[in-house]
Amino acid sequence: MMEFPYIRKRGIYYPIVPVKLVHQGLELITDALVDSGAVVSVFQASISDYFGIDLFEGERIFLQGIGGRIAAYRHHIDLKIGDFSFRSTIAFSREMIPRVNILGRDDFFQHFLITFDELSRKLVLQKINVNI
Amino acid sequence: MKEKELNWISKHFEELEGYSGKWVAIVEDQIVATGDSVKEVMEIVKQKGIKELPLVTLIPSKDEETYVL
Repeated sequence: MMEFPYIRKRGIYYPIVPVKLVHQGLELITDALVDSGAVVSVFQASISDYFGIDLFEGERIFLQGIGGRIAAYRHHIDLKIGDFSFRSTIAFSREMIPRVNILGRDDFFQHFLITFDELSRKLVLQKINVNI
Repeated sequence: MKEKELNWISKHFEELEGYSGKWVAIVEDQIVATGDSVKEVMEIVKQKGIKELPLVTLIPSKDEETYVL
């Protein structure tokens, strides 16, 4: 079980976790907002640029949010959270207005029981030991 | 993994306000590099000879407030 205290930015607390991305020998540790309202994970394209990923080689999808629609490109990449590594699908986009990375449900939520503990301001990830 | 750095961000976010819109690399309680892209920031980290992987985060613009995503 992993616990992550919410991160405070400008007086507001967010369920943000550190995540390591690994691709073709390069590693990067960044942070991402865990968002149960997001169907897919969306990260900044500056990250895919760092890994040398050709954005447009990925499947193009359009993401509809509360403020409009953006294009993103799906790529497979290895993630590590705490001591748990897994292959995931991340949509990278140059059009995100919020300057965050988002961990959404697809290829992430099914690995964990996730508790948003608002009272204690912490996120709890409990690994599910099943083969998907 | 980098909980120390995230905790530092949480407690000292006002120190990052000057980097709004920038990528920032943090090791423990130190800002070790800033730039307009992840690549630029990681190049600086490499040039400085920092062996430990930093936490690389994008600082929100000043007009970004409450997220409804």
